[in-house]
Amino acid sequence: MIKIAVCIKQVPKGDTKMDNNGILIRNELTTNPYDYYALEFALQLKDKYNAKVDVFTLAPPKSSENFKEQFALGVDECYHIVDNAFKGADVFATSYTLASAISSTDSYNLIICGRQTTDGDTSSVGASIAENLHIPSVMYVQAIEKLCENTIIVDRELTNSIERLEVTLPAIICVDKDTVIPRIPTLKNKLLASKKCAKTITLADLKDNNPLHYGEVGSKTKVVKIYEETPLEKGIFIDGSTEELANFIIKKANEIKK
Amino acid sequence: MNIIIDNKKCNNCNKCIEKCKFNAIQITNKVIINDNCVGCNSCVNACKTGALTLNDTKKKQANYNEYKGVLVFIQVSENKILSTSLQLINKGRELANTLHEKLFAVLLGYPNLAYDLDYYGIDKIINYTNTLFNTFNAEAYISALYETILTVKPSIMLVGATNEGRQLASHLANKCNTGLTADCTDLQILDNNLLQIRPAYGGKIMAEIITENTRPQFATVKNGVFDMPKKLDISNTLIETIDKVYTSKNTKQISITNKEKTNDILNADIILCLGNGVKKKEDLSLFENVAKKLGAEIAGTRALVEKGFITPDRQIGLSGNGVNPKLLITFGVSGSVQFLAGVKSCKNIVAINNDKNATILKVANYSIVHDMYDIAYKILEKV
Amino acid sequence: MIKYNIENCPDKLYDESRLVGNAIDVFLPENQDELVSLVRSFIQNNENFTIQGGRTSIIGSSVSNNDHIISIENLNKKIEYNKDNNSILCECGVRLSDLKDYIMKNINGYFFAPNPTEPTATISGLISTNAKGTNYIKYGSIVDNLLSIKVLLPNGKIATFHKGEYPIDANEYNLPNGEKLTNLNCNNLYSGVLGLCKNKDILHLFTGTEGILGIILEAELKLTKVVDNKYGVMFFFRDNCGFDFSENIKKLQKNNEISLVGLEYFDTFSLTILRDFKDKSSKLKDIPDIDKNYQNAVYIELENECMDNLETSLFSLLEIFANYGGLEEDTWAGVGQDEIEKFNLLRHSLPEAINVIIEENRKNCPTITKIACDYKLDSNFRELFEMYNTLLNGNIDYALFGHIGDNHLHLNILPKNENELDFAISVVDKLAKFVADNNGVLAFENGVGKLKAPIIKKYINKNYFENARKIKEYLDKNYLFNRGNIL
Repeated sequence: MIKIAVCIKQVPKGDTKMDNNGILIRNELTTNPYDYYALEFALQLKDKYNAKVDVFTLAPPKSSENFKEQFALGVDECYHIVDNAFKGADVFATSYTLASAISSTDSYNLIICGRQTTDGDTSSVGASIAENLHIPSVMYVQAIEKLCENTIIVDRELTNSIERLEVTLPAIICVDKDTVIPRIPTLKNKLLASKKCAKTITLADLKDNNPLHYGEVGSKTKVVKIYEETPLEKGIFIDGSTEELANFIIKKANEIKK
Repeated sequence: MNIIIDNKKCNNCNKCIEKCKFNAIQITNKVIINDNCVGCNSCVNACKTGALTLNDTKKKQANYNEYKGVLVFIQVSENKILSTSLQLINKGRELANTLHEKLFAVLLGYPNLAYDLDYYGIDKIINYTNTLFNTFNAEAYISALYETILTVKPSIMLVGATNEGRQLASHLANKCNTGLTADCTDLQILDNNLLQIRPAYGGKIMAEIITENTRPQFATVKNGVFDMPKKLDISNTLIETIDKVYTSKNTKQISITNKEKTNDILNADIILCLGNGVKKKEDLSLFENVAKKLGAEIAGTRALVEKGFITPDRQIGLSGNGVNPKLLITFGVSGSVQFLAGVKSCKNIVAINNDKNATILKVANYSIVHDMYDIAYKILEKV
Repeated sequence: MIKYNIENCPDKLYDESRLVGNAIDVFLPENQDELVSLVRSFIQNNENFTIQGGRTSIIGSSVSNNDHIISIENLNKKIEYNKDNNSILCECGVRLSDLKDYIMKNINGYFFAPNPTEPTATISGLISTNAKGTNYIKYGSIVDNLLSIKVLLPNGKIATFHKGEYPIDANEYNLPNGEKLTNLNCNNLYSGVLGLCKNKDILHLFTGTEGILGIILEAELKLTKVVDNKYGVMFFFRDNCGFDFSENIKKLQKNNEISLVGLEYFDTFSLTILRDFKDKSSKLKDIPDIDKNYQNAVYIELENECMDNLETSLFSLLEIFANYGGLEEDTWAGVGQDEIEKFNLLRHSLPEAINVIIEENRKNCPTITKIACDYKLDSNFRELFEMYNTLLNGNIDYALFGHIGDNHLHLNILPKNENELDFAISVVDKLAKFVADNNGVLAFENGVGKLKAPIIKKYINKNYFENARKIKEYLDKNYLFNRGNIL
């Protein structure tokens, strides 16, 4: 049986802001919008090839409600990777944690990630997991042409072209948004899912259970400062002759064009 | 969490709480650091009594001090060096100067283009001359670039944030067991570290990030963030050629097709939006020419769509499209509530309207009270 | 306060009805004082004027017929939360979207219950049409959620009326100055316009009367507690069973077996329109395709304090759905407001898509106008429903959709040429007679304005109309306020 793992991230809902004291206002967590496309790709493969689809999410304890949504869509198992040791992880440590959890759980033929997240946004988790698991990766996948026993054929987007590649499995693919239309669960599946829970994976469950490889300790980058962006002022009136005004507009456009 | 708490030393001065932007510290009868902590260590720096100290298990990587200089990946597409790569040469030179170190560039394939990189102040260009590299192949590129990194040992590696660049940087950073910050909007040097600056948490908040203990420090940067370099009068650039080739074992290209250029307003960097100020349908060609000269896509308000001047796919507004280009220039748009709903995330609006009371002039960043036709004709004259 | 020549703001001559009027000039007062002085001077000089808010009216209430135009769009600065009353006081020009943003930023766990769809409508616009949304079934209309209104009366006086303060007795109407309007025979044929019935009060006089009796300056809006557990479900039918299914659901609601927040119907052509529109609209790109085999659809929204109870109701609905031939896989379900947004997006796209079709048709035949009606008929609803279809099916394109939960559907007929246009008008007329004869409501949701005034005048009970005139002439005998609306 073909086994597919989908990496899903929980991100803050809406725009994160700072309050008047310069403190980050923590919004509720919701599924990263880009990951719905990853999930849809996986579910389409499930429909076509009778594959098993498992979701892996590294998230704090309070995000457990969001898994019901994924069960309702038809995933077989949800794994909630959660442990104090995993806190404060940057992309490097997060990728390691995901790779570790996936390889400690089962051997998957294919791992699918979304293109990026709405917070953080580095787009590099997929490639990093690939490095950790020593498997090939393809980013910016637009379509899956065919899934075979040992290979997968995908279309991926480069700067000026679309390339069709045949990749040996196991592999990891990162899919772009607006490539497929995420399905809406049926009422029955929604109702049945409300009783389902994710399985937890803690540090103790991992093959590599050395806490120094995870979380903040296992990270390579560190945030040293955050501040609110100062937006451009509004309503600045520009005066001048027609010529000066035309020059102003041309200048503004050239700043962007480069 | 990497912080050692010694409650006996805490004097309740609360300076740690003041400095924490993440609401991660609570002090009741003891100090508690909760789930919100991201490890920025501002609290440790603020604590004068030693109640909070760092559990510094993180040491610098073994050959940390051997890594010096800035390495830029040169990406080529359609037989041209990408502007992004040149912009990174420019910034790379600046960073290298601050560090008093060298600037390197690595070019895979395209040996004919190596000389195009001369006179930009690059100390050495490493060129893998085999033209097999002319076709992008992630695995092969990663192998060659990894080898280059191990040879050059740069302190900083800069890669343009294209689809190809992002894939390469992500793999390479992980291979080197080091950190990567993607889509940086600025780069600076702070205490010998590369300060990587980018929006975080969804957009309105900026974060400054460092890769403290490992090298190289990777950063990807989008096109247009930095300026293009100017050519210098003299050149000390060395070109080192390497004849090696790498192939890929796991990926095979089946076909490649050119992407169609989409000219829809949703992906446009610059949009020129027309409103009721456009008097006749025939006048549209004037503004279409202006848009072309400025590199903008044409869009219109609902009124113009209803008059048949603009097709519905180019409508901006509540019942049209929501857009967020890098620059929005409006000509003769009054700024109705319905229109503004379609541009509410725009951060850079230049509005032209000859009614000084038009609502849009209060909402735009730059407001111009003038005849839109006069400005249009003048722009065409100049460009 | 800015005064414009009408040439400088031609958009003020029309609203969403697409009727185009004429005006003497346009005034934009900055605050209530300026508005009040301006209106008082008009009253003194006997000059007509038309009040405009968001100009979102689809029946021409904002269109001026050679009047002065006063736009209250700048009276939008005051929004105040009153924690003790659990209410919000806002000025007339505050838009629904601003109100929603304010509540989201400042208030937790409560919301302003009525959910009409137009976000750019002003509060005074919502009051003047007594707007309602899909959750009317549970939360009522604007007037049901008002605590007080501050009105500028046609005699130049300002009065604030609180809910319940001045009740209206049947046949008799007590005015705040102690006077009474008597001998008025009032069968309420439609709520809003001059409804005079038991349990109503003076707020009902100014709500839904499209500005002809007074100008709303401020309103105090009641907030309602948010119910956390909510489901939204689209049920698709491969046979035409949507109507019968809905009737069944309504029975459950009546017997208090479920807590319905919305019950919406989509006929065959509505689904066709949505399928086509999805291809063109970038907003709908994330909504799955609607299977070509689906003939109609019913959207149900339920909420409950207890999730288990909610889920039990939904399992029952699934059984009922199966009884009407519904297949399990022909449903879409969402939990919580975020997931339900997709369904709202789809529903709201239908009127937008219809407007696009009308514009297309107008290109070939410029005399085509929007032919829409929203009749509400409690007593013989099934008969009316069948009439829509027998009169129109096979003869012309039409979309029938909307609030089937309160026996209130929107009919949009889409004529493509002059013949079809005449036919469409005649059908609307025929249906109006049926509705009026059966004591139905001829304009339940969007108001009467100028577009529907002729049909109302033709079919409404004559006595009732006389009563309405009496009240109008008592308050505004020179017909200065919003001439042409309703009467």
